[in-house]
Amino acid sequence: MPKRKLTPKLKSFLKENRFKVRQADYAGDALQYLQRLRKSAKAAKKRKESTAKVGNVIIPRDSELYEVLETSAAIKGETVAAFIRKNKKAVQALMTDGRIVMQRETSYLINDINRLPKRNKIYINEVETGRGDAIYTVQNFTSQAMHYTSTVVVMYEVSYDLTGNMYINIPQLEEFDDLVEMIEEGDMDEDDNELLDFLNDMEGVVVVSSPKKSS
Amino acid sequence: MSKRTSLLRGNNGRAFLTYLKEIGVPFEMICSNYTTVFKIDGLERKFVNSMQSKRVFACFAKIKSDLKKKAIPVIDYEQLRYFVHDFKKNEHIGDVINVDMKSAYATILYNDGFIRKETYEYICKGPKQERLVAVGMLASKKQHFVFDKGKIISNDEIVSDTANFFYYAVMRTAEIMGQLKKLCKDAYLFTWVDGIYLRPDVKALERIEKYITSIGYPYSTEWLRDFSVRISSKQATVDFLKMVKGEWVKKPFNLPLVNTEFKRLVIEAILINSKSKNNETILDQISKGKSK
Repeated sequence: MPKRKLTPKLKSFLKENRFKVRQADYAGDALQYLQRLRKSAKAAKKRKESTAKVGNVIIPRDSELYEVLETSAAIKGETVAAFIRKNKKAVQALMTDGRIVMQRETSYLINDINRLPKRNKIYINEVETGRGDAIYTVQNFTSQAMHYTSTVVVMYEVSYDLTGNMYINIPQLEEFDDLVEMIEEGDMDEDDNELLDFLNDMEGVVVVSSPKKSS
Repeated sequence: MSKRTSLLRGNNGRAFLTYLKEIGVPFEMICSNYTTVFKIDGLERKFVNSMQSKRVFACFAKIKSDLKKKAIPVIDYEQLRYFVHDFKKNEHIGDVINVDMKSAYATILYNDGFIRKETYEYICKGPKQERLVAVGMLASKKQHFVFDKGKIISNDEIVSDTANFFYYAVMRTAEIMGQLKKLCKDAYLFTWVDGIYLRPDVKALERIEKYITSIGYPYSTEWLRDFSVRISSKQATVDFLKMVKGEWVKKPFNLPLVNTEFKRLVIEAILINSKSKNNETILDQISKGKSK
C-alpha cells in the first residue's frame, strides 16, 4: 500500500533519501513532496554544472567572468545565455582584455572612487594609490586643465578588472605637470594653446574645450 | 578667522600647497574646478581662477532664495546626458546648421516654475559667462582633504544642497534635445548640451524651430561650413568653420565616445559582486541599485 500522508517523520526521511526510495511506494501528498525534492535537486545539479559558451569558448561557472555576466543578466532581468547572445561581441572583448574600459567625467569618476567597495584597490598608472590621493590627482589635473586652457570638460579613461579594482591611466601626467610648471614660471605663454594641443593628444583623457575660446 | 583671496597666478597656489606639505603642519584643503581654499589654524587662504563680479553672486542669491520654497527634484545622475552622437567613421559633411537654446538652464528653471520672473529677467540681462557661472553655482561640488605631516589623512565631498535643481535643468535640456533629435530625422548629426547640429535640411530646421518656439524657449541658429568628423580610439573630433565677426574661423571640438549600456551594466555587476563578497547578498545589492 503506497504511503500517502506526509508526516514530519516521513518528510525528513524523504529529504534524506530522495534518490534511494522507490516512487511507486508513495502517493498523494507524500508523492508530490518526493517529486518536488527530486526536481529541485536535479535543477541545483544542473545549475552547478552549467557553463556559458561564447563562440567556441566555454566560460566555467566558478570563474569571475561568469559571476559578472550572471549578475549583469540578473540586473537586466535576463538569462545568462540571452545576455551573452545579445552582447556577444562585447563579451568576447571582455574575455580577451579581462578589463572593461569606460570614459568618465571628473565628478562622476570622483563618485566612482568614493563608492568603490573597500576591498578594491585603485591604481593610477599601475601604481596603487589611496582614495584621497586618487581624488586629489584627478581633481588637480582637471582644475589645472580648466585653469590654463579653454577646457570645459575632462573625461578620464578608467578600467575595471573583473574583481572590481579600478585603473586610471594618465601616462603623460608628469609631462603635463612640467608644461603647467613652465606656464607658472612664465617660460611658456598660456595663450599659445600648446598645453591644449598636448591635452588633445594625451593618452587616457579626452578634453572638451570651449569652441568659443579656442582658435 | 583671517581670510584672504588671491587669483591663481604663476605658481602661487601650488607653491603654497608644497610649503604646507613640507613644513608638515595639519591643514585642510577644499578645492573645486575653480577655487582652492586652505585652512590652517585660524588662517584661510583662497585661490580662485578668476574673480567673479558682484552681479554673479547677486544672481545666485536670487536663484537660491526662490528655490528655498521649492521641493528638491529627484534626479538619477547616471541617466543625465550632456551629449549624444553616433559618429562611427571619418566623414566630410560640408554645410551644417547649429541650433542653440539661449540661456537654456535659466529658462528651464523659470518655465518650470522654480524661479520668479524678476529673477529670470535679472539673470538674462547679464552676459553669457555670468549666467553660466551663476546657474552653475547651484551644483557646486568641492573636495575636502585633511592633510597631516604632508599626507592626505582623510577626504570627503561637499555637495551644494541646490545641486538637484541644476541637474533638473540638465535633465530637461536633454529631454528637449531628444525631442529635437526626433524632429531632425535623418538630418541629425549630434547634440552637445543645449545645442543641436544637423545637415542643411530646411524642413527639419523649420520643424525644430517651430517646436522650440511652441514650448517657449529662445534660441539662435547658425550656419557652419566645412564640417568634418575624425574618429580615433578615444574620441570623435569635429571640425567646422564658423562666422565670427565677418570671418570664417576654424573651430575644433572633441566629443567623448559614448559608453555603451553593456559597459555600464558590467561595471555595476563587478561592483555588486565585489560588495557581495563583503557579506552583502547580490539580491540586496540589485534591489539597492534599483531603489537609488
